[in-house]
Amino acid sequence: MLKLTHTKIDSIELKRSLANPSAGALVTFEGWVRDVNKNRKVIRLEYEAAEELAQNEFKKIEQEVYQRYEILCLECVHRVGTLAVGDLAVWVSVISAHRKDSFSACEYIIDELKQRVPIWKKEHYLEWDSGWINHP
Amino acid sequence: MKHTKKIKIYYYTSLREQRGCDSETWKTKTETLKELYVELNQKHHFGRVSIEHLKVALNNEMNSWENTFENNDTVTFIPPVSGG
Repeated sequence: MLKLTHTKIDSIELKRSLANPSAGALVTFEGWVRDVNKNRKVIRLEYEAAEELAQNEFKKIEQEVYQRYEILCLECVHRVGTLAVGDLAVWVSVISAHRKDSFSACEYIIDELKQRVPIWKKEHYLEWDSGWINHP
Repeated sequence: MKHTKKIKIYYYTSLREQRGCDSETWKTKTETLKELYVELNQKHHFGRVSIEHLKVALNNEMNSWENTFENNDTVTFIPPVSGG
């Protein structure tokens, strides 16, 4: 499931919650706030989400993942609100019996989330006006 | 004869900033979601964010611009996403 949170993501605790004796593999993707984008110095980010709609769209992605890959469980947590450089913005983890399914599923989840789930990022720059990413 | 419908509209990001509010109740005689957006854009002038840039959701599920909506429905306009 997708969890949207205003507070720091505790990846260690999240990983612990996935413990499963049938799992032979855990693959995690962490998206971090970096300090530069397109040569502009980034000082902070804002994430905004259409929460219920985001949950509904992520459920479809989740169903697709379970149909495509032999996985045991997946979890996704995404921050909303204001984030500083270095903060963990998104955390995706998948467990499976074998590693290939976890690798493929994890990549599928983050790729689809970035294209489909109504979450938006506004970058604040040191020397430029702030802007919503991908907006005209 | 076209009936007036009362719907709830949600705005996010640049649309919210342009509109000056995150939601509103709207009365309309339009029938499709595309017609509704055209009507709202004429009223509120969403600027550079045109319909080609947007997706639309009806009652919190992604939908198609050509589909119709009903009285008391909820409509969300979705600017280009950028999560992750």
